Amino acid sequence: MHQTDFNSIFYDISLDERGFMVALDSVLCAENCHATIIPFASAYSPEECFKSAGSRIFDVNHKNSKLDLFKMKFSTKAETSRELIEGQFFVYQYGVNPNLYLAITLECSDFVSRALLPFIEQNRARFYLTFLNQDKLKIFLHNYREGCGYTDLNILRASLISRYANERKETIIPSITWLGLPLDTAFTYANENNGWFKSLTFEALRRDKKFAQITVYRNGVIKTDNDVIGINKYLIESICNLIRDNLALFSKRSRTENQMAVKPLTIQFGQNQFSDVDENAKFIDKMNQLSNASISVIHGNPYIFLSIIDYIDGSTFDVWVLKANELIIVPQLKSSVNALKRIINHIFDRYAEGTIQEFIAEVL
Amino acid sequence: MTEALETLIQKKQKEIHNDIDDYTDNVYAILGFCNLWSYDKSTGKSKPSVKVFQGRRLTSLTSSNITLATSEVTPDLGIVINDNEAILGEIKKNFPKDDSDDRQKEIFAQLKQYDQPLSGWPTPTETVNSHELALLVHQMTSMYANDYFSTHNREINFNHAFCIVSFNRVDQGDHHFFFQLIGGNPGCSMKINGTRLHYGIAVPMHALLEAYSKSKIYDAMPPLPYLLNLIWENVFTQIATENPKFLKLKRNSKLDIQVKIDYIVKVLQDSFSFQCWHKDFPDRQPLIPKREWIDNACQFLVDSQEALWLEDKQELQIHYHKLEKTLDHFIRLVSESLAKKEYQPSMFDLNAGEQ
Repeated sequence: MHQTDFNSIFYDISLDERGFMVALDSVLCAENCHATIIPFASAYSPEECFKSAGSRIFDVNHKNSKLDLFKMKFSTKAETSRELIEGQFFVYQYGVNPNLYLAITLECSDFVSRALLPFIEQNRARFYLTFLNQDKLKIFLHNYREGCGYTDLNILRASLISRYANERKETIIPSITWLGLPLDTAFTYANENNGWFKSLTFEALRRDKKFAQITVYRNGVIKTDNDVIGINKYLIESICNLIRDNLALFSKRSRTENQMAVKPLTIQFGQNQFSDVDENAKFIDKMNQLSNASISVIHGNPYIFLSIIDYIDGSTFDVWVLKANELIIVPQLKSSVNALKRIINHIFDRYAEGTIQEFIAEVL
Repeated sequence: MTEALETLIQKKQKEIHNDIDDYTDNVYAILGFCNLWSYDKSTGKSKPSVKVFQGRRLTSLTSSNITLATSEVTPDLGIVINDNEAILGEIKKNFPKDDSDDRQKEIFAQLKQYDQPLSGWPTPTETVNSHELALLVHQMTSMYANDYFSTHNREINFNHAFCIVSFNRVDQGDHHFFFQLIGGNPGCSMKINGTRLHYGIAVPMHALLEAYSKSKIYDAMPPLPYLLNLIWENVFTQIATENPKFLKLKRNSKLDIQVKIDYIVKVLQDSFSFQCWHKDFPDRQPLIPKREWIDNACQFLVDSQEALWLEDKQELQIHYHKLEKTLDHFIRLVSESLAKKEYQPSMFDLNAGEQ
């Protein structure tokens, strides 16, 4: 496995945010490598987030109050013996928000996909990653293209999940089909197929010259071989703002945190999603696919009233459809940020995307 | 299990679903009807001059009245305006279609008990200057109530203004509850008609959602599976999450947890009763859910081998497991229990059993 000597690269750099990103940009320009950037939020310190557990061992080196360098060793079963995956990554406190971080590594995909990301996934209570719905992803990529003055973002590969499939069915679009396809066309195709991009790989082009090859994932993870400065300004900042906004929206929703008052959220579809009652059965069917949860249908037709238990942490929610263009989530006695995110994420992934808003009761 | 028994179970399941619908509709009807008086359009909040209550015990001031069976009454709902005028309401979603078993008569006898000077109102003097009576009946059976009253008006002889209000859930467009004054005695018009009830008023469910989310249980026992679902979600699951084994608990594994019965009652009272309406005048308000409802629900869990009694039935040990569809699970268990009690095996079934 390729081992980057992070220490030698970053020992002498100015450790403000821009300095860090400039240094990272320089490394990518000079070396034939790529960086993976994982924006996340956590109520815990980086050291508490990346705590050794089981076959994953962490070693931390504090650089300063905002920067830590972690070494990770992950022992996993191979065919005949145990395989050791090792790598390093920085955890950078992003901006002024003490709960926002970037985990950044120059290690190969194997380390990221087999060791680092699975650890984050398995410890969801400590990590909050975002989800980029199609509208947000499109806006962010447009802003990146315009802000950096690129001629276009040339789509190379897209992982598209279609909601038409009964079961979760991923359709990987062959890269050859997408070669040279402009950004807008790709989104139109996804929309026509009632799908969403799990990931999108594209080239940032200025006239015909390729400046960077970038992959953006729905969970906000970015992989790039160049242009860290532009990505930081137009993509990472937007993703971190989205994480911050969603955290504010999802936090302190439980009734026990609000003197037993209810604080519902809505998903606005912008169209009469539930105008046909057949849609109720489709929605309930999709909700029944939520893993590690109990879904109770208290009323299914003509209005919808579900009660849900999240078995990861015991959060409970009521879900209502009382208007054709809106879905209401009422957090009950316990409601964690991650459970709320998981349920909304599931609705967006499996059923339909919308805009998350505060609930405003209809006037009598 | 025989086909006949399975058919009976399915019939019971449908009946339970209908009972849950009825119960939910009744709660919405209480909330919606009271909101007609308590909601202030200009502020979007409750009017400070209006107090509402559910299931409050009121006392007769005319104990010498020999026609009244009891000195204490507990109407389904009450509304007090400016501490001196009031409305008492009783909800009967399904008014009997005939009086063959005296059930129509009993309902009006119950209303007649509210037709007297009463004390214990949530006012400084515990009295009001006057009060009216309302019978809320679902539209499907409201005309039976109206016919009965028209025929027996003279013998019932209400001293207070009385009206019959029909309600029904309307699902065209946005879902709402529709209330309409359909009958009563001539004196009934004053306060209730002030809200245009004569022409009918639609109250969107959307507007009542926050109130419903806090007040799912009123002073009638909920259908057992619905009550068990509330307990399982909001009490047992919360206790189970405190156990480190909860997260990795597999679907087919069980985790034993203990809970005091008083604690279950307290959580449901604080979280899902109408207690939030009565925080400024909690005396005379019965505690809902009643302890006996919870005892019954727990006994059912024990009978179904989902739990064990501990400490002389003051505590329960639950064999907690992660149910995929909690409500369906309890509807099935209750339906099976009811069906088995009712089921009479045919000779064919008995012979098949012997073979």
